[in-house]
Amino acid sequence: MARDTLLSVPDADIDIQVIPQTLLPTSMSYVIDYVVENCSADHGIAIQDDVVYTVILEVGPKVPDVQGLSRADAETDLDAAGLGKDPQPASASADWKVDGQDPPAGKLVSFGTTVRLDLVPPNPPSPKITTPAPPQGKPQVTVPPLIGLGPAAARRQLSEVGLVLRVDPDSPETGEISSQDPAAGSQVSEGATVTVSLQEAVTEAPNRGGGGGGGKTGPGKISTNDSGSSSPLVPTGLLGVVLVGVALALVLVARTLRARRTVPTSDPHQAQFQSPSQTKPYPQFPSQTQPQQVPSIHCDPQPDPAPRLEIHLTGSPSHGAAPSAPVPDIRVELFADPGRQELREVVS
Amino acid sequence: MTVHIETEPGTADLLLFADPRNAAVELSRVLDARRTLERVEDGAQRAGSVFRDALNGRVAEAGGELLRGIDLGAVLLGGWQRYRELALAARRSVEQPGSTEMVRLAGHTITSKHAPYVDVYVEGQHVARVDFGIDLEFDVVLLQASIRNGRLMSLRAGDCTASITWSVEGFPVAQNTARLTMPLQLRLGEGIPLGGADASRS
Repeated sequence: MARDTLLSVPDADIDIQVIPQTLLPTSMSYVIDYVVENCSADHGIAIQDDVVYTVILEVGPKVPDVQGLSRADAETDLDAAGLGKDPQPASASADWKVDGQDPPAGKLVSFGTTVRLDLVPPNPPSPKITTPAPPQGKPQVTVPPLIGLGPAAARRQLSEVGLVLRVDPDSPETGEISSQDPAAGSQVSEGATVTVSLQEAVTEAPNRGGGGGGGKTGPGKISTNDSGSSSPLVPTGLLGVVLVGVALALVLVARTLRARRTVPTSDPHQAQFQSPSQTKPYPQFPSQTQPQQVPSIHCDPQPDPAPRLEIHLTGSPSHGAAPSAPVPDIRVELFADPGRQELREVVS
Repeated sequence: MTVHIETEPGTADLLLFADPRNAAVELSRVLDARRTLERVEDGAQRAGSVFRDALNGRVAEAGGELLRGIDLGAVLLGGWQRYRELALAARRSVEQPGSTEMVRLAGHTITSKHAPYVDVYVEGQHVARVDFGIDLEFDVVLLQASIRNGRLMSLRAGDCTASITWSVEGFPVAQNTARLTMPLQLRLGEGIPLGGADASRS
């Protein structure tokens, strides 16, 4: 930017030199000092004709902020900025954290300037981190689908993947599994418990009617196989068939209604059998298929397209100090004057 | 044998500054503030802080050296040598060998104007001349001189107050007024010749 600013001076013939001549492509450079040669006393404000002005820009980087970084990361940043590093203590391992730095972050320095890093041993994981992490130490397994299976079959399937079956105490002791928790497809740690709810098998209802073909018949009773007879017991058999049909129809209607109420569930198979009365009284592992309640964080870097540029003239070197540039050949010749003395008497 | 009058302070820089190193420092400050050396930079076709600092330092050191080279006793003696009565007494002493003429001078003022300068060369080329001005004034209460054989043999001086003004290129650098002390009786050894022809100048 400094180069563009100088080149944009109207009617100026300016030759720009940058020190150091080779700049790191990964580091932003800023002007630290400048020297104008072949320039008039007004420092080039009033441009003269036929004079080529040479502006030597000394540039350097800003010290990066390495506070809190590990030693390895901090040294990487300093290398990228073209700066030296002085880790304290020097024997610190790469995972030690930077607790202080000198020069401070943002300070404009020359390339190669050594930055002191005050390192401290790494702290244990901060308790402030509240993001739930899955239990570590055990492999993760996928919960198999259990709905529709009997307890024995479910226990067998779970044992194959290293899980434990638990029957909800509020559900019937026998029957088919109507719901499971965690849901099928969830990732849980090996050895975790899968809780299921059972529902009595509806196929037992026809057997309880007893009037069907092959059913038990009482002694002396008229067999149902007596087709075409005009026995007075026929209406009773028909009534049993109708009752069984009605019962089946009610079960089907009830299942349909439950399925409709649980459609939003991610697992349609599970939703078909899930009952709202089946609560989850035990702590549940977070399902990996459910959306995480982690706030969305998005970082959009916005570099400053027009940083404020300041050029500071360095002070005059102190007497005896080594100049930073070759001193031109300046010679002076002294011509003393003994003076002209006059004596006047004071008239009293 | 060179006759020398010891005074305190002895040189012009010490009349201005207690620490003689401050002469160059103060002159450097004035040179920078007044941009006195810009025309030198123009003449040298050079610019930049390095050249400016080097030029400033060299000229300041040279100016301080010129100031340090002014001996206050020599200036006083040069003034007294131009006193008409001393020259006349010297002529009388020559005319009467072995006699001693005593000359008494009451309150008087000796002024001395100095215009030293420095020629500046850059890369061997003369680029500029820097002129200095040093004005001295001595107010002497009493002087009694003895002359023999046309020579000033001894002096007895009373209280003396000295004032100095130092300038560069017309810009004042420093000025001061201080009491100047010297031995009550100044023995001048073999004496200082007092030219009778010079007596008419004052």
